[in-house]
Amino acid sequence: MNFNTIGYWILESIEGIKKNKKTFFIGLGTMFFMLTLIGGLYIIYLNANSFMGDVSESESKVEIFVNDVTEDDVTIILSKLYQIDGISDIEYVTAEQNYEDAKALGLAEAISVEDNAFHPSFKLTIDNVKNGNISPIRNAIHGIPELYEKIHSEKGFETTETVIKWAITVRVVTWTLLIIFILIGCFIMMNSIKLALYSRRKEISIMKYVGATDRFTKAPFIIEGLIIAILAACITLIVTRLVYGGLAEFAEANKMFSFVVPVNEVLGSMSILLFVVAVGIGTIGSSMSISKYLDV
Amino acid sequence: MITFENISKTYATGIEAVHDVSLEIEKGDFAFFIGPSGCGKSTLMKLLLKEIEPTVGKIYINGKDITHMPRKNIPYLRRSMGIVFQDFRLLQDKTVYENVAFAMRVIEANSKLIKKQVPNALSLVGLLNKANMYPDELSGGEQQRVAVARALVNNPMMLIADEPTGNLDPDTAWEIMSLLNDINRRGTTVIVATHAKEIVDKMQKRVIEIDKGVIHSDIKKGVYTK
Repeated sequence: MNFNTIGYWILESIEGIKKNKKTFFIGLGTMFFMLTLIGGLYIIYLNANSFMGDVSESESKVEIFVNDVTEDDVTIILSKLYQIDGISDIEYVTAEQNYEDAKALGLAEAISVEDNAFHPSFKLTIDNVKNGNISPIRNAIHGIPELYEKIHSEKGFETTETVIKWAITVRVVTWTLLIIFILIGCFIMMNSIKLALYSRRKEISIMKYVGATDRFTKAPFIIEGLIIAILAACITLIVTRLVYGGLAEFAEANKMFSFVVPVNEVLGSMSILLFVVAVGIGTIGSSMSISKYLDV
Repeated sequence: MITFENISKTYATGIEAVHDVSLEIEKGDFAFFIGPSGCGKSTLMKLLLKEIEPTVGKIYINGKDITHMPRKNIPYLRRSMGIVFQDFRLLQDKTVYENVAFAMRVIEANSKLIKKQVPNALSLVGLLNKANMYPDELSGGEQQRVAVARALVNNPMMLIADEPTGNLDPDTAWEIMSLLNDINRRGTTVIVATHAKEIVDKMQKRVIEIDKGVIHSDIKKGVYTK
């Protein structure tokens, strides 16, 4: 391969685009639509992760309220809690202290500590909640008989579990949709290139008869597919900068939704994702569509 | 140079297009394949071009067995052949010069060589003065000359023409055959599949008559027998 050949391929691709302007714009439009959906999903994914990060951080502390426990019970329970992996910090809070805390927050003015409305508790800090390790830890805690039989109530487990479930669901749905959109993108690209191929099938057949290799015949069409895909990716990024950038700046200016990921952070990783997807779709889609025309 | 050894070809439809064909074409030969439509001429051409593979038998070119040649090597085999079709198959949006240069570009020849070879091929067919014209500005005969120039520009060792005069009037057809004859005199092996009885009779070249997929006759200075 020499520079002449590469230059010839690029010129042929541009010629191909000029000859089939309508097909080119249809391909570009549909690819832009597809990449916008992929980009949109990615933005949802990033913001959902950011939101989950915020929530799971604040909810990684759980509290187990217990009925009357003796000092011996507390010692045994604490020693067994420390043996559970994933718990980074444990604090025992007496009923009196809980009452004082509630009073400090203005929540216990009408109640006195003697009313027995407050219970002692174990405050636990759990590591890596995002990884979904909350249920095994909860089961391990419930496996301590000295604690389990005295549990009055628990705080934090349900919320954290819900947040984790949502995080996993968002992740699975996002990746599934991403794969579906990528496949649809390939299909669109295949059809765009097929139309271009159809209009140039005579040229391809002559190329094959005079001894062009498959690689040489494919190259201009693959370049054409890449031009469409990369151009669509650039337009998608510009539109994202304008639309998402505007929304993110508005949210920041109005101190709304603290979890919103800044536009520059989104564009950084999204540009890599879109270009990888675009190059993949452009190459795979156009390669797949041309194969049958090469059988001359 | 070309050897067909007990070649049979049965298509997927079950039709046997050629049956037990054996023949040899020497370097520098000029051979006509004649016979009625559907007799197997085109199948033999396709076998030679490696468009299809024989069901039985072997094909050799210059002593090399090409019967089951890997697909990736077929382009390199085709570079040793120039091909001319009945319908010219020129690219209408390219000039005469570009059509001929196209055959060199696609085999990745360098620009310097293209600039040297294309005018040579065009002067050989007498169309150098029409290099900048488009195919639709040329007569049928001239278009076929461009196709011949395109087939020759890479200096192939053989030229294969499938009904090259089928779309031409008798005078123009004769001009094209004379051109092919000149090319043959320069040492290129020429194989022509044709129905043009008068031309075959007049040229007195080797005539291989095919009927119902078998070689009916193979005469060194033959004529159209039917």
